[in-house]
Amino acid sequence: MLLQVRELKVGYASGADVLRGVDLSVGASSVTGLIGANGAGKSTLLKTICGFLRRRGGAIAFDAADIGKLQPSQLAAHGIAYLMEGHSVFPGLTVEENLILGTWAFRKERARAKQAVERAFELSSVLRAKRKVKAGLLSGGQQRILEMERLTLNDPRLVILDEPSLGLSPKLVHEVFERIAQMKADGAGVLVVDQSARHVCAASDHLYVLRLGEICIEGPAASFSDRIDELVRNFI
Amino acid sequence: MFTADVLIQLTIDGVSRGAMYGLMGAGLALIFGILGIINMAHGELFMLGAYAMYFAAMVLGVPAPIALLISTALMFCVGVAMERGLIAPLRARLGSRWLVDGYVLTIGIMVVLQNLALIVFGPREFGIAAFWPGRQEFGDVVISNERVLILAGALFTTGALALFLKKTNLGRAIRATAEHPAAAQVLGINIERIYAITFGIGAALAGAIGSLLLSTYPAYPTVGGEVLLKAFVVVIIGGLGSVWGAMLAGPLLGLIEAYATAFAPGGWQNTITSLLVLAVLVLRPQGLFSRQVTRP
Repeated sequence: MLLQVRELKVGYASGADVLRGVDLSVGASSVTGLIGANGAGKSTLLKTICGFLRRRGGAIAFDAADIGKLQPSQLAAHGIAYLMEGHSVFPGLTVEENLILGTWAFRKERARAKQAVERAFELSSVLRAKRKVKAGLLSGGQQRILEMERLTLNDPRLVILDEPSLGLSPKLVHEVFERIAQMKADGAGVLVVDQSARHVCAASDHLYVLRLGEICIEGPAASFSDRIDELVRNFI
Repeated sequence: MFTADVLIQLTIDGVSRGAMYGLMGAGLALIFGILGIINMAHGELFMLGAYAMYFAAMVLGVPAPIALLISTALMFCVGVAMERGLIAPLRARLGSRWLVDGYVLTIGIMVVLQNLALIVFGPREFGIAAFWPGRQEFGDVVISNERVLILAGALFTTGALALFLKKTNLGRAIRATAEHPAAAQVLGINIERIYAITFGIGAALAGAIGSLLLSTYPAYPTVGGEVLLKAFVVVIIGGLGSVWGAMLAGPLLGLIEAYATAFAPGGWQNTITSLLVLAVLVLRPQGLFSRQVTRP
């Protein structure tokens, strides 16, 4: 397993924990979906894996190595990409500059960094047309495309996505999930949290349902596909 | 009475002095944009730079360009040390509520540095007449060599800073950290390092300007006060936290001062600048050269 979370406990203030012993794993070349109601602790789990919050107990292992003390700035060097909640483009920097910063972890390999940026422009006509435009002037959907492209520039082995489809048009939601399938095809392990349970279920190999800080249901996503509505009604 | 050559002279004078104000303001804006603190000790970094320049050039006899480099490099180190030694521990200890304490800390640094300078160097002024005596004549226009030197130094430094921020990886990382620190971290940027380097750059700029302006502002313990005031004016006109705005507002302020000195009765110079600051604060609080933005 690429990522293994065991008995993870996290709390913000002294008091009740937000996560009360979560077990979850993500394999290479696969998509793992995580769904749950607002306040279930989904974002907290992702933030903890990525080093923005400290655990109170349990273990987080990446490639069998403990990453519980990882700083967020060390993620990229480990091959972990993280799409955080909300917007994360640099609005005052151009699209091109945003992409160049996506190669920061291997900026000293100039040829590779340059090539990665050029490939992103080749793949996305939207970004190509806006190359010299400040990212803050793009539409919400275009910003998300930029974030998704920036995320994969250094060929991450694990991609962690927090609500990638939030606020997007149906067409763009479709595009985002196609991009996730592409990441899987490229060999990455993907952990995706999204409010659109149906899309997550369709895109995932394995599905977890988080409820009040605990995993209440898990299993192969295919086994949920015909009763996803029931699942959403009962647990989300 | 005011012929073309006088106007040209005033313009050159205003732009060269103003570009220096602009660079002081740009340093303040850089530090504010990244760390969120208004560095009240920025004038004292200017003061230290001026002393360093005086001692390198006049006491040790180092040639002026090398003395300038020494003083700038020294002030970069002072800036990094200030951030690592004083500001970073405060930030680590106080979490999100550290900003007011950081601001008060810089006031403390200001007082300490002023008094240290008074104890070490005494109240006397260490200045020089000119690094490059003489003057250039272009027809009726006469410009002292010192002016040319200051103008060239200011334009060079402004250009170098702009290129650095715009075109280098580190410059892009600094701008990215100012806009979205968490996203910058996720991409692998060590923002603690960016904090230290940014403070170092701000200090180096102040030190370089203090060195270049040694013939105008000799080194003495409280020389930083007046310069800090100009830097604040520049930052208000240019837009708080806007480095580009400060770089543009500097020459504008310099020009206004130069023309005001020439055309208005004595004493009006500062009144006119103050009125401008008031007008900007009331009519366009985001600054003349920046779009309205909200900090997340």
